[in-house]
Amino acid sequence: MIPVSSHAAARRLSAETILRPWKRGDEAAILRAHARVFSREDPHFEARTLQHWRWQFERNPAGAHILLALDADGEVRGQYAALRQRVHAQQGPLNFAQSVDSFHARPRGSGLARASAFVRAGLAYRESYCGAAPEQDHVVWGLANPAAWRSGSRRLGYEHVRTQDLLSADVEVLPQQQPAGFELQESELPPAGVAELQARAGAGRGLRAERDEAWLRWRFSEHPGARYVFGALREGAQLRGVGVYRHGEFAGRSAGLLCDWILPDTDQAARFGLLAWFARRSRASGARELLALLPDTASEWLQFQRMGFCVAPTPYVLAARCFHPALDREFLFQRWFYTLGDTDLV
Amino acid sequence: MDGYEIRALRPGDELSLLQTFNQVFGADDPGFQPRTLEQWRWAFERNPAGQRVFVALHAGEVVAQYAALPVRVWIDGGPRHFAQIVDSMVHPAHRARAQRQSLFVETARAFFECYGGAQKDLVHFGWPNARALRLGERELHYDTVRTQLALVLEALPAPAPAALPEAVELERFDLQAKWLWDRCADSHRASTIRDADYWNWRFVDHPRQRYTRHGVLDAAGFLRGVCIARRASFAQQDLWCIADWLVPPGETQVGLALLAATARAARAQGARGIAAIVPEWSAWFPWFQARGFLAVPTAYRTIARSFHPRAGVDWLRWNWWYQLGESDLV
Repeated sequence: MIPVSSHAAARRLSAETILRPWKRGDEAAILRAHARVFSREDPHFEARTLQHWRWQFERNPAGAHILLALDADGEVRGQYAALRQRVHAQQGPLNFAQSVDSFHARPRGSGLARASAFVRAGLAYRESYCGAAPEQDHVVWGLANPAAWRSGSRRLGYEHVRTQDLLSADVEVLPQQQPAGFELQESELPPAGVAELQARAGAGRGLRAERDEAWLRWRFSEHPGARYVFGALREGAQLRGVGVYRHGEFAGRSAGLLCDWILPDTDQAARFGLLAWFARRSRASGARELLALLPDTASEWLQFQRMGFCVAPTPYVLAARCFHPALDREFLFQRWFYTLGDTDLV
Repeated sequence: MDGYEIRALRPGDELSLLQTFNQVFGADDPGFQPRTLEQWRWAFERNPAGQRVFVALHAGEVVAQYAALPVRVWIDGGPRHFAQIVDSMVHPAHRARAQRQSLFVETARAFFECYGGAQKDLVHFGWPNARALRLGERELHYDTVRTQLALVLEALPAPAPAALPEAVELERFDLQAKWLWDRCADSHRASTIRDADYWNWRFVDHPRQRYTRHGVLDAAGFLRGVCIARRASFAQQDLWCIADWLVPPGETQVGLALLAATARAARAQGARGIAAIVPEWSAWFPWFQARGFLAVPTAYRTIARSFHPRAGVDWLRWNWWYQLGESDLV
């Protein structure tokens, strides 16, 4: 296990506030501030449990970074936090960091644009953790809602990689029949052989975050708040594709969710077989539609539409900042393959 | 900048401006057709919404331009102007060198200072190439409204059933253009005012391109919907590109009649398919998809520089109705 990093030094933001990395014992203050901030913005907000926090930040096999702004009483005034991902690329191994749960515990009525604790925590995060060295975060990214985008683009150098739309399909119009010769097995744990499948799948994908057994187990099997199902598509002994399904909410819609999609870009038969499983799974869980979040540059984008999916808007902008000379916004736009499972939204 | 005069265009600058324009844009494009004075006058002198041109002169010759085509826009209950940035250029001999300010940037800044503002043009927008985008983001406050999708119908549809209303070709637009737009405007919080002046200038009197203009008229002769298109390469080669689509929300029979008519025209012109851009928030976005259009990524970003926080790029993404005809791409 790679623990949450806490090696950066503390610095004083003002007479009352200091910036420093998370350290053991801060959890309760982080959760108090988190609840205070997000309950204002979401009337349906349910306070995050310590168990959930530990799963998300302490047990991520790729690690996490948290920078806090704390007042003299030890209360959290701002946080910039990111979940790390190992990414395979032609350039070699890269570290992406998904910014999540970053906030400013501001007085009621003030906006994120004036959220200096958030911005300063973000700037300190950049100084502490971002760069081109092998151990640093090479890309910091997130699916930003409008408020986070405004603040992040102005103050933290976020760039608009893509206006993120979703794909949705009426499950009844999708093919549900398994192609001949394929067998589909469901499980709550990652299927055997998934790392080798990911190695084959990643070869044609440009940039793709690692999907090894440890990450999949952490992200889906051990998630404390949701139940996911793996679907492993095999032809004989060969694993041809793996999908992860969940019934849940995304972008205000209750639906079947295509949470992960691991198969080679060129394996059309497996693509049909896996999609048929998602359709059957959605129908079995009572969902009328299946949603997927994929880059519009992926080959699935058009093919899914030809099979009955429609494109619809979401509130999100895929925002990122690159810190590696071989990466820029256009490269991310063209070559980065991701799914809902890469995000913390489902 | 030393040796340069940066100012709004004046009568008498046109020929020098055109000469530089044709030299700059012809340099890297073997298919480039030089712009004529007549074409220039149509774009920059006859636009009913006005003129937005700044030039930089050196030794009496125009060596740089930052220009836009303004449109009258109805936004949240009142008329304002937006302007589409087009044809920005610097003569190669006058491009930025180390230790020197960029003539492009200086001309653009003077342009924005003159024309942009909360009480002037509210938004300047465009679809820049990669180089202009980088410079604009770094120096000129360009911001992305959206990475632009196109709706593309890859195979032309079979002829529509006869029960649909009839669509006719329209020679020119009259008062009814504005009446039709009035019926649509409530569903758009910001949109170019489509009146006879705008449509006739943009699509009827265009000196180079011929657009096919279909309208559906009701029994009393009132205009119920309009589709304007021409053959062009946008998103893919050789498509029938819908430059403007104006149908009141919910009038799907009118929409179907116009789509059938424009598909007939596309077939007659030998186009491979049909393309359009429709904001994702609009009810027409799923409507076109339900008729077989695919949402296809393009190389374009719709960018804007907003001069009022209430018309920022997030707001524009969710409220601004624009069409391909508001670009210079078709």
